[in-house]
Amino acid sequence: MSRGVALLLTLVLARAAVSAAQEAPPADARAELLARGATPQLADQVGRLVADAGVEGLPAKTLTDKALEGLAKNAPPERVFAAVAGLRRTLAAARGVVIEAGLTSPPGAVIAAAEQALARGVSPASVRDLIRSATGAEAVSTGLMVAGLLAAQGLERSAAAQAVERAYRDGRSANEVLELPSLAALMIARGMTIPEVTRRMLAGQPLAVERPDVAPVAAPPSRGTDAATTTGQGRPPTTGKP
Amino acid sequence: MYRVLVQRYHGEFWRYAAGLVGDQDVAEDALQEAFIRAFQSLHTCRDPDRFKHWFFRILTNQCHNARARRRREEPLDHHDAPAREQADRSLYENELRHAIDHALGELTPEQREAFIMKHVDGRSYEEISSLLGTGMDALKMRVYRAREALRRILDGNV
Amino acid sequence: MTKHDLSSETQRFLDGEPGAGPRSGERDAAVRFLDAMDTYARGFREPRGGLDDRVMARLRHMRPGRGGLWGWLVAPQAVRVRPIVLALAAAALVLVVSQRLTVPAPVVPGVAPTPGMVLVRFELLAPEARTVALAGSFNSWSSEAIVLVPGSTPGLWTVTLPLALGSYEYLFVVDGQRWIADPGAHAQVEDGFGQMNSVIVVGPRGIVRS
Repeated sequence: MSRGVALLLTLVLARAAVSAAQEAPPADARAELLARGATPQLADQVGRLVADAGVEGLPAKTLTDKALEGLAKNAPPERVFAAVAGLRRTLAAARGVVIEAGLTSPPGAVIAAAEQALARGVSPASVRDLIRSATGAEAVSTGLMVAGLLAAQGLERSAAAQAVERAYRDGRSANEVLELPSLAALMIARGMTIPEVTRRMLAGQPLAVERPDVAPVAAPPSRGTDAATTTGQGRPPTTGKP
Repeated sequence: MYRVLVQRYHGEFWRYAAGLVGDQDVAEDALQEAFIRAFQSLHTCRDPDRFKHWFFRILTNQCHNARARRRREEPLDHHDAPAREQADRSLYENELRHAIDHALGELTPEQREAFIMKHVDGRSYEEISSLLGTGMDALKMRVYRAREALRRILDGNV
Repeated sequence: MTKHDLSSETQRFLDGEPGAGPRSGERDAAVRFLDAMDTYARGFREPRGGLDDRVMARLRHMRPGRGGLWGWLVAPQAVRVRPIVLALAAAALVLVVSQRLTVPAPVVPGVAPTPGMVLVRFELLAPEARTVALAGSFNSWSSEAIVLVPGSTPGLWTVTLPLALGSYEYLFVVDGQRWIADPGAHAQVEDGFGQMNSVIVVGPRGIVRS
């Protein structure tokens, strides 16, 4: 077996391993917490909260994961419960904003993404505008999540949402919008100021992330190169231009 | 294990390659060449789950080149391949297939790719969009224009 | 478009959109077009057998390519996963090898393709560390399941994960107790426990770090 073939084999295996871990069926919140070392009292409290939230249409997994995060970080039980209860409040508020935008039965993923965007400073008005500008649940939740991230990266909050809206208006898919934070990171790494990064994003600059060390493979005329993951902590791409 | 990939994507893409090149034998050579090149540059495909899309681009390039070579080397007349192996089909069908192949040659490469994926492969716009990396509105426009171009030529012939 | 072009209604019919019909007066033209394409598509003979033999025969005469990814592959990796997941991985491998070879039926319009997964490499420079792990939203914050291994540079710890598209919050865990942010992440966000989490957004072409 040649090396190229062997690596493909191993990558298929690795992918299956992580995807299986990620696709495990949702377990009972209380049972999951107990399995991770929560006190029975905390497990009961969080379990009840998550069940109530689920009935209200809020994403249960988001809340359970926050509790598991707190346990992993050895936070005291009161702190864990406070964080989960706080998250439930902000999720409920986000759900309200999403409904105002016209989505009457929003999926959990959309609510979670809206909560993230609001938490990172995107205004309710911008969230509503963004929801109205995107088509389909995937585009909406992706757009909200990316807007929140761009704001966290330092873009001015309304600009963050407008950059995503601009991308959708230009006909970009949700998958292409996912590239925006990497694009912003690349521009920042190349020494551009935040105002310059903002200006380019609002102007709808091309989304192809350049990778000088990866040769373009028969790219059709309308697209850029097939870029791949980069490595490094504060280092630019390993070969080619600095 | 590369053989498994060859078998799988041969089945999925042979029709697309044949439509794009306009000659089945030449298309199979292009497909073979695409698999060779894909293997040689496998180390640049860092995302095993996107192998299909990455391979598709290599194949499309090989097919466009093969079609261009075919046009340069052979005069465009009724010896062209789509009719060659269909001796038992009606003359009308041979003429029609030849006319469609010629009309496809008049399209831009982007229109031809999208049109073949839609009307020969029968793929949805979502899937075409995923393979070509182009938005669906742009794709529909390409297919609509290709249809109109084909209709103009066919109405003149049929 | 000229006035002889088909209406958008009829175009949608030709697209195979469910519930779409040709505009009156355009039905004959639409049907003629579909018949013509049917004739064309029918005319393709089945491909010659043995393409896989020919490809494999040519490849055997070639030297295998070298690549950065192979270098990564031979380096010691310790992506530790639960035993049940290894069994599933083995099952997935069997599935890949025994793929049926058929020409796929046309895809139903409206069904989205499955998103791909992307390899993402995580690195931490921690020369004093004895162990380094990765915990985050991709593994329910378990601080033991994903372990980094020493890389080629002294003091550098690395691991590469296949991840589905989307955003992930995470932290490195040094020596089982210190939770460290990733300076190369896209952003740092509050975690609700008084700390900051690192966040990345994984797109179809991987990620670029600052």
